[in-house]
Amino acid sequence: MLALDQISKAYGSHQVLDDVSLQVRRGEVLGYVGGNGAGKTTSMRIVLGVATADSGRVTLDGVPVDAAARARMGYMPEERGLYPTMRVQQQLEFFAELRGLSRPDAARAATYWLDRLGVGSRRDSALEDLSLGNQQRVQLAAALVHGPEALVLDEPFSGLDPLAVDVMAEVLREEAARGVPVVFSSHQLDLVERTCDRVAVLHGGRLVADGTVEGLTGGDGRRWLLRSDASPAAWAADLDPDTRASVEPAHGDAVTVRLAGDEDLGRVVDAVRRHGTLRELRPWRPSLTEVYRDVVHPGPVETGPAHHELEEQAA
Amino acid sequence: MSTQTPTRPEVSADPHRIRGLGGVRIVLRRELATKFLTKAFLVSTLLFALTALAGPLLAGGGEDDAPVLAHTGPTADLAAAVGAVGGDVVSLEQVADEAAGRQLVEQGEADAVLLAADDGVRVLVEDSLDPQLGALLQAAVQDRSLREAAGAAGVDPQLLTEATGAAQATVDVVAVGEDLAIADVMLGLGFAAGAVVVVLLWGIPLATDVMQEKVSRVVEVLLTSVRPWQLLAGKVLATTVIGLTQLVVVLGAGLGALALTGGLPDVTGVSWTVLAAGVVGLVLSIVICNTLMAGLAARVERQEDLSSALQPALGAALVPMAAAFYLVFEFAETRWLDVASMAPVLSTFVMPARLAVEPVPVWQLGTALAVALATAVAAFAVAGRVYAGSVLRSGGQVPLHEALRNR
Repeated sequence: MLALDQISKAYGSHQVLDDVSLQVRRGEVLGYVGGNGAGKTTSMRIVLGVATADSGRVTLDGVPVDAAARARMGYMPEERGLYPTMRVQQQLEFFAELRGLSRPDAARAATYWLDRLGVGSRRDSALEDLSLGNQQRVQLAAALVHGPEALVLDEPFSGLDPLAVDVMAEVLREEAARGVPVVFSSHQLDLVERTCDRVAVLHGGRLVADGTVEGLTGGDGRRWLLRSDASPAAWAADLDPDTRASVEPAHGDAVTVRLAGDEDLGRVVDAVRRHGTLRELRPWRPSLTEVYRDVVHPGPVETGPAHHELEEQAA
Repeated sequence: MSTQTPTRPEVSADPHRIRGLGGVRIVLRRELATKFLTKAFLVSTLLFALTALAGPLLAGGGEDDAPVLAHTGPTADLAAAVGAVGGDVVSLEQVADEAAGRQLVEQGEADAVLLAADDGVRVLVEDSLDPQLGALLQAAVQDRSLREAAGAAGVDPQLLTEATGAAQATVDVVAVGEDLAIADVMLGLGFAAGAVVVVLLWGIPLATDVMQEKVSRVVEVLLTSVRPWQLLAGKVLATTVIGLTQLVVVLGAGLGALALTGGLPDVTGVSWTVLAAGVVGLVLSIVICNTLMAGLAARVERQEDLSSALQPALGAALVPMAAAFYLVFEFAETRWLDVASMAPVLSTFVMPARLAVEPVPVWQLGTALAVALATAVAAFAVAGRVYAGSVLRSGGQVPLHEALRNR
């Protein structure tokens, strides 16, 4: 398991990371999301020793990560870290050797990964002659070429075409299946939802949510979507105040409602029927995007319960 | 495409391969693979070599201006005879007396002064007699002896031949210049100049390369597996090897051209001590300056900031070279030269040239070497610190004091 343990980091008076603890288990793909400047890149750089934390530590299987352990990790920095004019195959062999592979192993692994990621035909080209998407495939190959024991990828999917996204997502799942902890950051939440086992949300240097995708998107049976010809304002007035406050417009004339306290679904249905006809009622599972919006910019009433629940799931 | 790929190869990473010099070797190999024997290197080396070849060939074998032969009143006839034999090749200049002639020679305005002597002629030269002038003089002296003998004894061929033989030993060449082995001095200074050329030609691309590695963030990936000093050492070694190779090839071409034109300098008199000290000084100078170049370059992210950041490293090449030239010619056999030849940074440039102008005690030679090695180690330590403290810090130029304090 790759773990960040109470990591804090400040640049001058700017607190970039504030007591962040996070675990990525072996065999698990963790999506690391957060706005620009939330601290994702900094925390990844700290994992790889590219930046140093003011306090806290990084461990791999319980052992504090040192230079040797870092050499066994695979890292893909956000600003692409490859030599523009060096030939692709030669470049991958160099990175493989730099991680301790023998020259024959390095050559075989480089050949394999370029083929696997679909850029084998460009192995003798200079990196800068490849399209940006293909450069990114090479970048991933560079992170994988030495058979890493942990994968830390900063925005690996940005700028990829849909086919390349599929290949990359497939490779990440394969690596996880091999028993490697995989963590990647992304702004593409649909992709994170599709690819990841767990999601961690960083906001303003603090971890504000951490849980399985199902857990975060609320498979708790408390959220419902309903549609009726009655005005939501009219029937909501019959509910208890917390539930009333949770009524939000969804798409079309539908609204979502979260059952607060000991409110039960029957009372809501009765209230709607008192004012009109109930057209549709089904359990509501918000997308990760909505969850993200909730935890990053919580509404005045939602703050309490949303946070509580998410933090419980994190624990 | 991915369905037909072979199975994933089993690879094993051994951290011992990248520890210490192992990591340096991998970096060195990449640097050589991408910069040495590349098209750009071969083309630039070829161009320099062709220039070096063309110089002596176009100059026509390094012919000098006509030698100037000074003479006094009594030797005016003989000088005229030399001029007659040599045609336009020799220019003549009359002086009042020996002292005036000696002054001309010492100032380099005349190549030789012809003086009358009891048993023939005496020739004052600074260093050695120009071979062409010597041959002409010999011929003229023989010719005069011949005429004198002919006048005294009629035109007997036998007597003429004897007189010719008798005239052989009468040219007495006296060197009046300072005891300066100019070939050695130029050799010693040549090494200093060679180091500066290599640093300018290859140290600046090295610095640019370090900066680009920082900007492209390749260095972030590199530093997850090797230490900053390993990167620095691999780069500096590679650059030194590349620069020296080019220098040797270009010098080889130049010497080859000189050999073709027959102008190859006489190396029998060259001091092997100067040569050996020069080679050691050259290599260490390049290593020290390139190390500083690479370390300082890590502070910046933009080309326009690079030249100011490199000033100290360029100074570490240019100032010692200037000092070597100045001290050897103006301060030979003074304390200044002694101190400079053993001072940090200066010693590798100054000592080879000093060896050419004065005898150097062995202990001073040893001190200079020890100081040079210590300077290289210190340069590496400082550059390594600046590099490690700057290369991962983005956002403008990293102030030197902060770079040194980091890590």
